[in-house]
Amino acid sequence: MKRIVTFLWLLAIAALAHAQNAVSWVASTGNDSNTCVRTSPCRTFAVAVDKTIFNGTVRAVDASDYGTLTISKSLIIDGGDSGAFIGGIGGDALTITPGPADNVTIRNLAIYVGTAPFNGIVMYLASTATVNIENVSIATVINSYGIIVNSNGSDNGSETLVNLRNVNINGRGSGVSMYVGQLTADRLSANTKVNALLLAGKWLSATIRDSVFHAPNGSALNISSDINSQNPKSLMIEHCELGHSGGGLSVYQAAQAPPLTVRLSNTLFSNNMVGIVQDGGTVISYRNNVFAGNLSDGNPPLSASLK
Amino acid sequence: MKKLMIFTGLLAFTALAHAQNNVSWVASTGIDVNNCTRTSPCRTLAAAYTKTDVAGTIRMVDAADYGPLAIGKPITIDGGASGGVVGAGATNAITVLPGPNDMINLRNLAIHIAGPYTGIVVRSAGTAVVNIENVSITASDQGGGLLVNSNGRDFSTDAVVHLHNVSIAGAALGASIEFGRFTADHLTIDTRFEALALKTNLFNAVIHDSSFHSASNYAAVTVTTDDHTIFNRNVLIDRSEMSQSGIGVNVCQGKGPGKITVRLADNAITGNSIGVAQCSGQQFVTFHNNLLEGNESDGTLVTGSTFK
Repeated sequence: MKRIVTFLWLLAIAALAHAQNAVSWVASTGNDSNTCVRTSPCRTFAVAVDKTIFNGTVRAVDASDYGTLTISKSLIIDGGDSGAFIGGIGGDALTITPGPADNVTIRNLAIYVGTAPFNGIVMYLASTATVNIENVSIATVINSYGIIVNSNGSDNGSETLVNLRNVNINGRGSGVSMYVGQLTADRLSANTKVNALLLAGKWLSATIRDSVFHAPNGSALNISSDINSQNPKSLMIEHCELGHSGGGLSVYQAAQAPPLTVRLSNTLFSNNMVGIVQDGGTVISYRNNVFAGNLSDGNPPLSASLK
Repeated sequence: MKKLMIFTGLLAFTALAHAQNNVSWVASTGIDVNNCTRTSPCRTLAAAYTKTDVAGTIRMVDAADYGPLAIGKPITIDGGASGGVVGAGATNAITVLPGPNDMINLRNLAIHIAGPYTGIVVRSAGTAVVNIENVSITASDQGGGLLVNSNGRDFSTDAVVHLHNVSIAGAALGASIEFGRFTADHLTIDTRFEALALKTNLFNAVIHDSSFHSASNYAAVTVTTDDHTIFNRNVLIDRSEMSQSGIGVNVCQGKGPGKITVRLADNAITGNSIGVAQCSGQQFVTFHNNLLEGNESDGTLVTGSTFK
């Protein structure tokens, strides 16, 4: 009888040890030995993520630094209106390595990159993984990146998708660097020293609207197709502003590389050294773009008609 | 005299028992037996709702999950800057069942769905108006963001749902609007299946400055009628973006007498397998200022209209 009681007690302990929440909470007064429920919040995102179910949510009670973390399952991190932030000290602030069909959403957060060579958000994606980033502000330092999107190496990642909504990247590093998959951006603001947006390697397609890009020591948008990539690439830019940069839009397609097409609509190029720098590829204008105040407007794009 | 005093006492007790607030409050430290005032807040929206006047308001003190809510009277739910959450367990988060002339406002809320449920369900009628503003909905792969349909008692064309600055992410199905009139501005939907479906008994819709993406080869925006749809359906999509989806805008008219017209102005439809698709007949009207290119197949916009 005593053995049975001991066994049941151990079972109960094991169950408690593995109990996970649909919604977990962190707070400035929390403790990581807590259960992470609202009345017993944890102190760090990393521990709260461990105590949250697949497809669950982690929320913040109040303004605080909740530490760096890695997400490797479908999950939502939502800072709400708490003022929650991640101060990336000694590592990348947020690393996302989802499963092949996982869906990760990051919302309402501030991210500070403490030191180079660490970065704001680093993703390693494959298959049909989707990452949504919304209402997030990222501050970078020299030689750091706001957001980097890489393949995890298991496939070419062409179906992966990153959606950016109302994302702001400021600082002395690079903005968004995308090396795999598909990107949509709406109200993305990147004010950085080097490239504000880089699309290179195995990226496939991107749609960018209502966004602004400035990179005084590089290109506002640096877009390329090289021989390591496999598929034709296309970029749509509409209702955007590319300014105060070395190159407003730099387009490069290597010999033997898949075709690269960039379409421009209702976009303002201003105060750049060169408006459009083009070496290969195709740039199409819908004849509704403004070029003003550039030292040189650069190569005139081909034109197409709206429908 | 004694009887009169007892009667008066009973009247006062009854009045107290039914006392309701013009403004009720919920807080993470609240208790549902409280009276839901600012100094004595409740813990759940459901409890605060029963203690709030018709056309009253419920507000939130701080960040917490205040549980699911069913609404059946005119009311405003305003999370303010609290970080308050409407979380659902095994149910939809907010169900709205307005009376035929009611106005309901949902404002400054975060809603999270963990299972195969829906963030906001509106079963409307008559001339009811539902305003949804500054609301973020996150749902699991099995969940839905917003469903608007009839309460089954009428087929009014005058019930209205307005969305302003609403975001839906991660849901299996974004928004399905199946009844009345619909307006949206600054609506963003990033989902795995259909992002926005305008269907069944929807009367008309205006969508402005919004973006829609379906990550799993479904349509960003789909407009359909069925064999029972009796109203003509007019949809205007303006200054919006439908991209990286199976179909940018898909229109399919059923066998019912209702005809669909989708007007497109100043939109970007790109990066889809198919840009615009239609089942039969000409259902699109373009103002000749849409960017329809860069899709595997763009589709065609034959009928045009001019600015005035």
